[in-house]
Amino acid sequence: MTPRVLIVDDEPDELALITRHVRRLGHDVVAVKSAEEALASPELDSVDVAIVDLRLPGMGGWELIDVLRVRRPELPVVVTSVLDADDYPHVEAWLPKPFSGDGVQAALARVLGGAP
Amino acid sequence: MTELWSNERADLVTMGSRYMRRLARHLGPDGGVVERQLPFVGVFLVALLSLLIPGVLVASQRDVVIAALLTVAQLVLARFLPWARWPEGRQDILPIIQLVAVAFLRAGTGGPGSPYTTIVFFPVIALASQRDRRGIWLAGLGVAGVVLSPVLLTSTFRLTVDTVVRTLFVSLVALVVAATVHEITARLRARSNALLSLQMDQAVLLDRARADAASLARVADQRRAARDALVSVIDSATEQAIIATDATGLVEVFNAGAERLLGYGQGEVVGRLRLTDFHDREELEARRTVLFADDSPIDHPQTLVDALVAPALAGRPEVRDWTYVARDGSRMTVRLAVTRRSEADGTTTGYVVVASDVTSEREASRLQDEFVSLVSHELRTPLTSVLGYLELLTDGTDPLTDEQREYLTVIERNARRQLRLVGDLLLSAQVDAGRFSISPQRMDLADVVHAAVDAAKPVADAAGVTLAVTARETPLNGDPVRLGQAVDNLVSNAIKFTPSGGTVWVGVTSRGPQGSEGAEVVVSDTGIGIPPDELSHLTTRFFRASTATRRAIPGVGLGLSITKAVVDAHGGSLSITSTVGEGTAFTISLPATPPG
Repeated sequence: MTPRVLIVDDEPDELALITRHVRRLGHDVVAVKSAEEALASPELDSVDVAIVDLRLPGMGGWELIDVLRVRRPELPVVVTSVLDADDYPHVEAWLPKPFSGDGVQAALARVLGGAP
Repeated sequence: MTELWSNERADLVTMGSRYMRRLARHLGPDGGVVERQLPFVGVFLVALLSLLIPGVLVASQRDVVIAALLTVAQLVLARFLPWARWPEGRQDILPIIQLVAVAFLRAGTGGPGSPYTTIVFFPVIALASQRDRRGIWLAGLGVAGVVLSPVLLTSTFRLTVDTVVRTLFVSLVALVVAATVHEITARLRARSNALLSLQMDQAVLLDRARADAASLARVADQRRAARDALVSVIDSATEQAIIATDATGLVEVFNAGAERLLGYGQGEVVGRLRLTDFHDREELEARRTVLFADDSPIDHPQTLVDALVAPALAGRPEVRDWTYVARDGSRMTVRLAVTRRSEADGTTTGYVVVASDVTSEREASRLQDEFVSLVSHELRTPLTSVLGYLELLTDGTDPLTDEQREYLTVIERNARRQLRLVGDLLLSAQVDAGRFSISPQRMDLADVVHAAVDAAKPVADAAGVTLAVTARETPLNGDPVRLGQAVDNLVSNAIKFTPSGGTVWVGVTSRGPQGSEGAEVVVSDTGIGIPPDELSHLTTRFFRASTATRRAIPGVGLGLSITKAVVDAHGGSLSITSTVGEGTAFTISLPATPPG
């Protein structure tokens, strides 16, 4: 089954960039621009991994991750941000910005276990 | 005798009634002398008056008159002669005249049977009361003379055995009386002298006591004035809170500045509150845990005081930020300097705390750092897209011409340069805000150095600078990422400031067996050098050496301040040596394990 990846980022260019990299890896993508959109999405319960940008308008990335832990405790989360890794919440993988294609691949491999 | 009787006269004047005082005035300047003659004169007058009584025998009126005249004469002499100027002994004249007068009176009133003979005891007492013993003999002789006078003065009487015995006996009595009187008056005099001497001593002591009291009062006034001056000085510091306490932390001095800062009146605090009552309790407890490695429950307020004053007690007065809680519960950040008060012998008598409200400064500083942080992150964001899409372009499926590839490389290089700069700025702001931390782990410093050299090789090659490295296994406890940043900065600086054809050498050495005493990294170059007076400023944020600006070498001046922050966080030191025109060497010394 093709892994489905939720990507949450308010910067359109970056959202498009991550989406492109993830699609290249052969995964399906659900791309949203805010935490509220993510939580309102019907696909939320069917994705296999979430890539979350920390600096989001409205509800921030930290809060979204807390909500996800409650709503889908077994969902692995990858944090991506321009912020330093010191400020990241405890998650399964990190993707500091700026990232490269290899970085995206490595993060997803870590979370999903082996690149497809 | 003069003093003895003068005192009595003084008493007469001061203690007696107005009557006596008027009498004293009339006695003249030597009233004492006159006074002494008065009993005799008085009794003599009575004697004379008694002669007027019919039936009393008057043998010779002539002798009586002579006696009276002599009595008056001696009284006048007593009143008007300057006895004060003469030696005391001369006053004996008067009783001697009295004796003669008595002799004549005796002779004029029947001689041996005359009762008026007894008046002789007045001059006897007068003579015996004198200081000199000769008064006794004069008295004795005088009395003998008086008794014998009828024989001497008239021819009626003859010297019989009876007369001789009478004379001798009366003289003996007179002598004994005189001696007794002399003795009594001598003792009286001695006692009076002693009393006088005591009184004088007493007067001296009283004067001294008064003088001492006056000087004590003066000193007390001075001390009060000095204390008032000091209090006014301390109170004039209205912008700083000055609090002094005793050894247990109980407040003794609470100045106007403290009242303003904390909202307590002086009276509410002095002797009632402890220094620690103004603090955030949790903060104090946390500090106690850090200082004494003890987080057992606190059962005594002194424990909290200890946490506050421990550095001061150890002789290292500390200035640090604390949270104060005012009377109304509002919180503020204060910069606190705690020092110890001690006696001359070194025992601690208390503490002095000077606190300034730095809440707004800290807030401003915090906001500034937050701003820099925010801006840095915002600056990174576009670069994410730039570099990300550049990668897509270069790794893309569509073929690129060599020229296009070259242009893309340039774009990427510059984007990365900007990224590095933003990273340095952010790191610098974090260092400033004290939010800089390292994650120490077991690592090999040689790996870090090799990585830095490898990363810098392309830049060095492009600049025509030779990179050389000497590194053997160097185990260490440290943060490899941060140390990597530090070495990167030094190496890139060295390359930047070395003209083409020069060399940059990087060396790592381990100290002690298995690196137990730390390690050293040296980055030396054959570059343009740094003037000696600028060496100390080199690690200041945004500082650029004059040699760099003159040669228009690019850079903002952050790299070295970051390197220094990393080295400091590891508990190490950074030293720089340089000769203008010849080269520079940077040496990082690191301990085996970072502190903390």
